[in-house]
Amino acid sequence: MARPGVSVEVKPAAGARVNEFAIKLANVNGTGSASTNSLLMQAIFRMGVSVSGKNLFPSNIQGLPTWFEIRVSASGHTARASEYDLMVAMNGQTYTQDIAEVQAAGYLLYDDSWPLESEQRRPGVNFLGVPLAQLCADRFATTKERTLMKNVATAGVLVALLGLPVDEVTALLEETYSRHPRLLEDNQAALRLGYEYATTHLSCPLPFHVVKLAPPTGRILIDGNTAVALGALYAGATVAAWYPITPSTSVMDGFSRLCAQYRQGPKPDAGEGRPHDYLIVQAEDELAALSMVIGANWAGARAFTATSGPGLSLMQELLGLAYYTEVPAVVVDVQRAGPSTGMPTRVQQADILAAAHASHGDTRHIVLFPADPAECFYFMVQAFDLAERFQTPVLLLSDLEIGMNEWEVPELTWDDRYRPDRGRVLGRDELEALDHFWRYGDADAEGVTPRTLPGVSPLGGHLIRGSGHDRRADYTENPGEYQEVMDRLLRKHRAAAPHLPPPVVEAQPGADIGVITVGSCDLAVREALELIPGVRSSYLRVRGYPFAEEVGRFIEAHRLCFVVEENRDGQLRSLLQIETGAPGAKLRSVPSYGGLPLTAGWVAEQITRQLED
Amino acid sequence: MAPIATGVAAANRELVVVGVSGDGDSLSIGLGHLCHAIRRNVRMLYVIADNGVYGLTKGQFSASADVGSRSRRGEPNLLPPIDAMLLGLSLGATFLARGFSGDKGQLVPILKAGLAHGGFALVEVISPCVQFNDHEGSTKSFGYVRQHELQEVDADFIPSREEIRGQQIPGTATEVKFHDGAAVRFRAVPPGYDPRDRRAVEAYLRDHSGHGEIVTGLLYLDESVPDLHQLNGTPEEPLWSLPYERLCPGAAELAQFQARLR
Repeated sequence: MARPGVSVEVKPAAGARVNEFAIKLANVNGTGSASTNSLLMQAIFRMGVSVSGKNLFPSNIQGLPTWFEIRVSASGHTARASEYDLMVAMNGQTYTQDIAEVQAAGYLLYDDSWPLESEQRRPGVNFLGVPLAQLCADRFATTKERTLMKNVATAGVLVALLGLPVDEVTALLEETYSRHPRLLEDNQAALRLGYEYATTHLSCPLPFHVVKLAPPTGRILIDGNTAVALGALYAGATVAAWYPITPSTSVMDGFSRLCAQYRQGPKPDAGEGRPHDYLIVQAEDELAALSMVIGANWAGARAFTATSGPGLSLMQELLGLAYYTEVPAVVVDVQRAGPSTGMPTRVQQADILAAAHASHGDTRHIVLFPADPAECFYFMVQAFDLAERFQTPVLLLSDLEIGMNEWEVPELTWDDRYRPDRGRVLGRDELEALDHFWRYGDADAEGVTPRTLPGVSPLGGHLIRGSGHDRRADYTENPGEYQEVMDRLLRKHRAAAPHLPPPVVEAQPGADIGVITVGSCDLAVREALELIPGVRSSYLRVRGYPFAEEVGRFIEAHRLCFVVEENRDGQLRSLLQIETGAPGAKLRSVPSYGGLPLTAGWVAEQITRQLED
Repeated sequence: MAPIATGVAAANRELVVVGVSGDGDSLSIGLGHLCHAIRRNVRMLYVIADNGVYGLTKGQFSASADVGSRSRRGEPNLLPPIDAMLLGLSLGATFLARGFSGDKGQLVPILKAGLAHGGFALVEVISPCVQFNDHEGSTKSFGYVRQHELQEVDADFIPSREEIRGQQIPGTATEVKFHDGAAVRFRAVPPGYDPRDRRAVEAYLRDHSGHGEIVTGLLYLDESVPDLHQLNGTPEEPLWSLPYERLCPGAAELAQFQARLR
């Protein structure tokens, strides 16, 4: 086939679409495409247009397919798109799949250093060929540079195609590589290569492109795991223990970085040897990680761990210990697709039941469900307050989609008047004023009993144990004494409900359909409701377990409720049914469990189909 | 138990942390945790009450049971034992001692020395199970231990604030000082036994266990290794007691941090 050269295959646009489109970049893992992806995201974000990026990556270091999806939406719909206006097809392995996902009359950008065969073309799709490998081979000396810089050159092409201001993107590179002049030079050169080729040979911009709006004041781009780490920093956590596991690893990486920045000794800089006001242990396994967290919390520090999937399974016994001995602990679970090792780099919300009732015996925990990085930050702080107030583990259930993608959220705010809620902790003077101290006696209205910290006063000394105990913390096998403690634990759990983040409810007057969801499904479900014509429905997003009373009232008020969640078995639906006593027929499951982030189109289709049945 | 103790020690470095465990936890289900607490040199006294048997569940062998040692029902143990002292040596332990629950005179100074140690003190106490492992054929019975114990290394603990009352220990004595001024004085029964020479101690222990002998005493000590807190550069005051104002960067810093996220 002849090289397209200057001939441009762009067909006339049906109508220009400004700030409303989706593109997908198909790459091979390990070729350095990640930094280019975030460069594009940030460039669009700075134009003041709502943007989201979803990184779909394999669970290996190098060689498997990886995709990055960018959705631009002036109307604010930033859930994952299901069809793409532009496919950047840079991975031969996935070409067939990639070309099938291009919208009718959409575009496909390919590297025509190796021209396409005619059977690789699809009627109706506009093909944009740029000899990226060739351009980079001419400009860069080593194979490594050529591979890396091809991504940046691709970004240059996209900057031209999407109408992004090249000066601002160049400035972004300067910010990123300010300390690496050589890398900066290469990146800028590569960006220009792609940009200049595109502006010369292709019709730029494409009918769908970005037009600058007001600058994004008060908004930031942040991933959920960094936000969780910030929350831990601001909550005053001093001890953290963890075992590395995808996709939660960047929580502790982030916490380490933040501690190095903000926790190394009194400000201003006191020079070398400043003390570290934190201690992070990379544990030998997740049992050890949570054990350390329990030990540290028992001794009075705010301590947390972060894990995913299999790690939560290993922590089960310790969650039971902390629950029964009433020791605070904060556990972050960045959910991934299970069961077992499952799909470590794919998303699910399939730990809901495992978290709510983690461990053998009668256990129930406080669980918080953030939907985006902003909630990750605020809920993380709240998790420590709840754990100490109710002297119990609190699980923050994030997921891979929230944790490992950059999200556009309102700038995080902080009230300097905040002080940690340490709960009922007796000091020396209070102990001296007491006739006696019983660790599990003297419950308050919420079922919380006073605790003491080791080393404060011998008057507060006691032995805590995972074995059956009475209100004095003494060993017991007496049914009455055992049940007294177990009943109080249940009372305490229920009492926590009004203190958790309340559900988000958007009620439509007269709606007889309710749609309930959780966590990162939020955006797709909201968008879906706009896509279902003629159905009046109310919306509720659960944000905490035990459920607020409002949740039960919402179900009661609607003829039918759809529960949209990312797991096979309808775990949230089951928990709602158990806890609210709602008839099963009233709660319809809309389960998405393939491991990819939810799309509005799929949700709308599922709900519409079930309504027709 | 070891990681819970690690968490406690991490949060409050002023606490005296004592962990009491058995050979079931330490050498089987919690073996990995013991190993890593040793590696981290968590400042604590860790006591293994070692009876070679699971008593509460009525007499199964533990991982410290010797090959050929017989259960109460007469079955021989076929699996090689895990020796806590040799394990500790291989992991870089900084304090290793073995005592016998039948010999309080030797054990008490060992425990005191362990409490004064500036890192992880591992004390294995051979503690015959009078119910399930104190019979003929067991190598962890009172009778067997009394017969095969080699009190090779005598140790005297000298607290920092107490006068040394002139106990004269015969033989060549070696004194090792703890950071708080307390001291341990060793008397080596075999000439040349040096409790600070890891390789020599290991060779000595291997040699004697090969002959079915149980070497007791303060076997190894290294006060020069930094503990968990020194390794992590934490402040002198316990982490749990740090005022919140010192820990939270505040609203202005949060705004500045986010300037990079725009």
